Amino acid sequence: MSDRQALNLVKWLTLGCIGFGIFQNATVRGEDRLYPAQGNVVRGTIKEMTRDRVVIDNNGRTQNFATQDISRIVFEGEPQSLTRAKELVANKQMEQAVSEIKKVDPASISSENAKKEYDYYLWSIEGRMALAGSGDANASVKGLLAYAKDNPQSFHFYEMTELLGQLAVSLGNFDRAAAYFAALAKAPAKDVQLRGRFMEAKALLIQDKFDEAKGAFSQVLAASSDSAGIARIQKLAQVGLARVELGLGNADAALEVLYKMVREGDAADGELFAAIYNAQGACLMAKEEFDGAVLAFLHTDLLYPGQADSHAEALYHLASLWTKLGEPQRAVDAKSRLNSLYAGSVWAKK
Amino acid sequence: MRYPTSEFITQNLKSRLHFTVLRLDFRKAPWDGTTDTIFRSRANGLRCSEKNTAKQQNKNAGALFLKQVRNPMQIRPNPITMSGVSRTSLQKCETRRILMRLLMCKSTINFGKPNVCLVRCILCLAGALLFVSSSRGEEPVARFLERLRQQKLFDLAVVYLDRSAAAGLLNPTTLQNLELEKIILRQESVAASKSGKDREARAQQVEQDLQKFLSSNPNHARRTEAKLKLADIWLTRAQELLDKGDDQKQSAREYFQKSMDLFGASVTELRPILESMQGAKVDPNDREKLALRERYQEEYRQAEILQAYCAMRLGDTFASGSSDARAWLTKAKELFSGIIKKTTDRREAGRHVLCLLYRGQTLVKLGENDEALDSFIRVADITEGGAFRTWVVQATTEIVKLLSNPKQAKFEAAIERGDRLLKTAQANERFQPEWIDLQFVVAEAKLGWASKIAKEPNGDLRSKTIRSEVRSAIQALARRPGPQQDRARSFLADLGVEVKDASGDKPIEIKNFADGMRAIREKLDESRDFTLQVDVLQTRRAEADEEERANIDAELVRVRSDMDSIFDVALDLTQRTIAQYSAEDSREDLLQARYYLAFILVKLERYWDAAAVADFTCRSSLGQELGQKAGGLALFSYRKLLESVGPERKANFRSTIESLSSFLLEQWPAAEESRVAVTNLLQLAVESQQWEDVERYLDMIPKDAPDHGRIARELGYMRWSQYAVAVDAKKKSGEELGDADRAVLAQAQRLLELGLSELKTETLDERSIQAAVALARIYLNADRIADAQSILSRENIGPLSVARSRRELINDQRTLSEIFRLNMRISVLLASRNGTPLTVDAVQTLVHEMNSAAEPGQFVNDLVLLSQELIDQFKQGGNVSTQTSLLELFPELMDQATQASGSIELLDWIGKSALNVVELAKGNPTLAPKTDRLASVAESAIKKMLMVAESNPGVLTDQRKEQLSILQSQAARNRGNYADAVNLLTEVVRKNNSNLLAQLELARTYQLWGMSAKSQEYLKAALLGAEYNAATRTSVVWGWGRISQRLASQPKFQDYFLESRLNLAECRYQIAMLESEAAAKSKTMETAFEDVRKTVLSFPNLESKEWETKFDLLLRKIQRELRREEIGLREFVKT
Repeated sequence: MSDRQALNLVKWLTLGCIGFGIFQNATVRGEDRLYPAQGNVVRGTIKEMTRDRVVIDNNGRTQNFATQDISRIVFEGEPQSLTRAKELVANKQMEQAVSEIKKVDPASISSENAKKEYDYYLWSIEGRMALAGSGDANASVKGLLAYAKDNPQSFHFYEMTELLGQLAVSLGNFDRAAAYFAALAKAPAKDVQLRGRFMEAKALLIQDKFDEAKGAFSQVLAASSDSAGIARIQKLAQVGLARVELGLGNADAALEVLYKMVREGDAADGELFAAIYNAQGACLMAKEEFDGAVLAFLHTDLLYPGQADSHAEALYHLASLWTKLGEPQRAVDAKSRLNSLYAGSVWAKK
Repeated sequence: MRYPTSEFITQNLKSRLHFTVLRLDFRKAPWDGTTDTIFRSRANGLRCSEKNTAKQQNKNAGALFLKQVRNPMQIRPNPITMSGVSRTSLQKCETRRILMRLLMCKSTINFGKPNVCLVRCILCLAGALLFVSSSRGEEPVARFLERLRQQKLFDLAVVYLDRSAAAGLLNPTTLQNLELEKIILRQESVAASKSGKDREARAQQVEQDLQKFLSSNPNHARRTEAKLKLADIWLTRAQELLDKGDDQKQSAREYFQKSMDLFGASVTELRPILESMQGAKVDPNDREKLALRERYQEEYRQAEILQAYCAMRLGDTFASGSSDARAWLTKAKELFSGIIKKTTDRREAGRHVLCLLYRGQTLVKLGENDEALDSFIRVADITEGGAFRTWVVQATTEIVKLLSNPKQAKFEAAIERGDRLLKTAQANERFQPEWIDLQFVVAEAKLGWASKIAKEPNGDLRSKTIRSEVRSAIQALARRPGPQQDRARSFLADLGVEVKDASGDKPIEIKNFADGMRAIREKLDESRDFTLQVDVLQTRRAEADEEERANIDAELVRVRSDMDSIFDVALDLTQRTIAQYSAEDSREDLLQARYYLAFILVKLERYWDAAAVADFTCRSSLGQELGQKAGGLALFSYRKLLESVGPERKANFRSTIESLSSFLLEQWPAAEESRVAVTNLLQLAVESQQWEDVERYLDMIPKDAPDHGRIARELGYMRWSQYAVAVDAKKKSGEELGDADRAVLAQAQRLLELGLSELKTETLDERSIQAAVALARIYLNADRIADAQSILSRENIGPLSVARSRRELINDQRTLSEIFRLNMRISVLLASRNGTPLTVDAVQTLVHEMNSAAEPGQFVNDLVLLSQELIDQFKQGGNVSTQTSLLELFPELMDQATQASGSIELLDWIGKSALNVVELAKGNPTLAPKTDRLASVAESAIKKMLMVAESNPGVLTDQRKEQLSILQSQAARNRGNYADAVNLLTEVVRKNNSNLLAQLELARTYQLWGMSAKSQEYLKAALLGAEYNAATRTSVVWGWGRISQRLASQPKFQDYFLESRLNLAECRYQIAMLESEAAAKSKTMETAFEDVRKTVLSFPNLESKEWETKFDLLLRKIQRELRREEIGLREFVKT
């Protein structure tokens, strides 16, 4: 053996021992991992979990986290597939999350917390897939309600309530949706409260209750903006308000607001910009400026196809608008993409 | 020959080649323009593990490049590099892309000097992040334009730029370049244009636009770019003219010259600018200036190359070998050589190689073959992928040509070189233009070689083998749709594949049956090439413009004629072959020959003969598979004949087809031909409306055949639709349904029951769901409610189950809505039958389901439809208990719906529908007492609607609110609550005194109230009005008297007028009847009599029988009270 080979062997052995040691620590010592929405992961033992806060003990030092500031928690003894599914959900990679969570054998989970997490993620992923047009909304609602019944103080409470509200809207059950969104108003965090109000306003808009929606959106906009989260909701609310203006027959006024938002906004914010362009498209459609409307919806289709709901809406409108521009083949293409990508969405069912 | 456009040189050489070149480690071995260096560099710079990645990246880049080379006009300018201003969003986008490239290739660049690369990446990353962060607050113009371009939406992209500019979404730099950007987009649209005329018109427009741009923007930063584009257009035009033929050479020459001059002028213009920006003259920190210099350098080089290219092409516009041609070609050679010497920097590797290729081509034209070969070999020996690979193929093609020309005759070397490269071709590469060219020249070289060795002793066999190889290679090209097909076909024709004596100048001799069979097969094989050509031509025809279509049509006629000739020869051959059949020959072969005969006759469209031969072959086949195929041919022929015969002969054909179908089914029950046979029969029966035969034909299909149930469902649904149409028509015309209609319904039911009994989960489709809905409706109409429910709710396959769990199977929104409506009807009726009213939850679920199935705005329509269906059910009358149940359940259902909903539309529907049913029920003495509850529901619904409206100001207009008050008053009146009704209505007329409907309702209500309460006071109010205002001398409530005065001169309100006159008299009659004194009664009764008389005399025809009857009845009552003869209206006739 040459000196170099010997040196390499020593290096590998050293690395192997370190790796093995880490692995040993992970299994023997056992710890939960809390991933904040911003900042580094905190390891320790979860001491308390309520719908409002989570307390983690890190070597005798306790840290409190408001639930809306938590991205996810990985519990000791959790199956790896569940951990990966959680990470994928945090990255909004739902399809991969579905296949990952399917790998989990629930019977094999021994930890009580992990079992609960499995239940929650199983149905919340299904629900998010349903919102994107390919999951079973009814099954998700059923599953989440069962989870909520068993875990009324879950730290997922507000996130789950919002999801239930969105699912109720997608199922056309607006009264129930309103109840869910109203529950968010009881959250201690202001941005959660506002998000609930925003969602409620959106639901009212879907029902063409323009005056009520206007009131709700205005409330969101009137709130003091002391965090980035709130500022973002307010921008989305501004788009909602433009939609209300359109509903009330003021397409020009709505367009003016939307153009201003484009000039001043950050095009990297896909959710916001897809919403803006769809609203622009709707305004231009109302004004019978079909080429402009196509361009607006094409923004969403070509630049923000990752925004499932907005993309489905854009495809739905493009399917009819292309025909008006004498492009039947493109219309067929839009329709078929809508049906294949978002078969379960409200847009595909329209 | 394709030429490089300015964009091609700018983009593909700059970014893609630069990227490619980056992956070659030129830092270790400075680029000296030799391929050896590249090999060395590659060997040094790439690790084995990275080679595959690099190859893959090269392949992708190459694919992109080829795409553009094939459509030179599509090669688009990149506004990013052209703009010259680093802060535009366009540039930010490009910077990110460059970064991505760098990051992608980081594993392959210079592992020997990681620090340099790392620093470079970090610098780029920092720069890119800077741009990303500064991308806030802008319309993503560049990205969106890029995507529009990818989608070939050039015209829309122009619209987009205009709209964005108008909306103030563009930044100043983009605005400054707006005009040029639009011109560039239009230029890109030229290649995407589908018709030749449009393409030409667009090209002309772009040319004009560019000239206008240049004249009106003498100092524009992108002026040179515009010039290059204009020169490109002229170059394209020159190229096209040259391709048209020798007579266009003069025009082509002019365009080449113009183009060359413009490229030259650009070089002259840029030279001093670049000199002033050389080296340290530009501040290294001035990024904008640096970028500008880089752009000018690129434009300068591309202008130089294109200038040289134009010179080369100018040589082509003169006779080959002429002094003019030689002069231009010599100039081109010098120019290319000059550029080759200058482009030694690694960043210009692509340009260097391209110029080598073009110099080689120029040298060939000059006859300097040895030098040319040297140039080509320098290109062909490059093993790098991407754009280089295309040039390698082109250079190899030239080498093969040079080596295999008659003077050189180095066929083996040429073939070896060509084949070596062809072996490396990927499947998707083989049919790209450059590769196709190579295949053809290699094939030609092989043929040359074959001819050469055929002259050698014993070389004949080898020569044949080579020719055979060539034939199969070119046949592969001929089979693939594409522009190469013509060339391949012509090549094959020269090779002797195509039969030129197809018309049979000389009949093919056959010695015996077996020999004949071989000859037939060969002939049929030949025919396949023609079939392929016809297919190809038809495909091309579908995509061609009018001009091309005419040419294709002519070609089709020719090819079909050739094909017919082949089949004629084949027919003759087959007939002679069959005649040679002897006992020694195989009987199977005879069957085969007959089958061929039938097939050829079909191809020649001799359907009578074909049918006879095929039918016979089928029946005499003793169950062999070929007989089954012959049956298919016979059916096809019969079907064709059927299209051409009159209706009287169709019946005969049907019996023939029926007989053949029975035979096919008996012999090959599972065969496709048998299924087609019966389907044909069914189709014929349906077409000729012979429905009595349909079920018989259906019985011919084996019960276990997968299609049996499906066809039964289709037919049943068809019959049901016919029945529904007939019912609708008769309903409109007021006719009764006849026996024929009932027979249609009965057959629909039978077929649907049969079809649905065979339905399984795996055969479930939308039509089966529609069929089940139809059957449920049939059962429901026949009062078989339980059966209807059973069919609707079948587990997994019932429409309701599917609508709930697999809604994606139902695409037709109407079907979905109908399912839930049916479900609601059935639920209501079943609840009525069972005496178990629906629970709140059940009603809510039903309403929710209907809502979820409906399109936006459709829900209310669905409810209206349901209402109509329930009312229809109610009107059917027959079963009093059902009617009573409906009347009892209707309010329950509606009350629940009222509670459950806050939708104005739904509440409106409830109110109206409930009142509608109340009105109907009032006409039936048994049902009339049971209407209170329903009227109350109507009233609640309207009240709730008004409440909703109050909390949503502006939702209802004043007019709509008045209508609601009227509806509410009707509901109150129907419940006997006259005071409330009068109050509601009076409130309306106080605000809007001229609301005629409210005034009418008031008069009606007062009248009913008076009659009900036996009150003269209310009757007088109905007659004369109420709430008299002394100041205005009018009453707020008009009463019948004033209503009739107001309407007397308004023909459009004729019915209301007659109603007011009738009720005027009726009220007086009622008042008279309440008089206690005989004289007063008689006097008032006389007045009533006069009211009728005046009306009848003024309107002798009373507009309709209905009014005549009403007045007649009233008059008879009055006559009775006046103790006159009860002769009704005849009294006035007598008068």
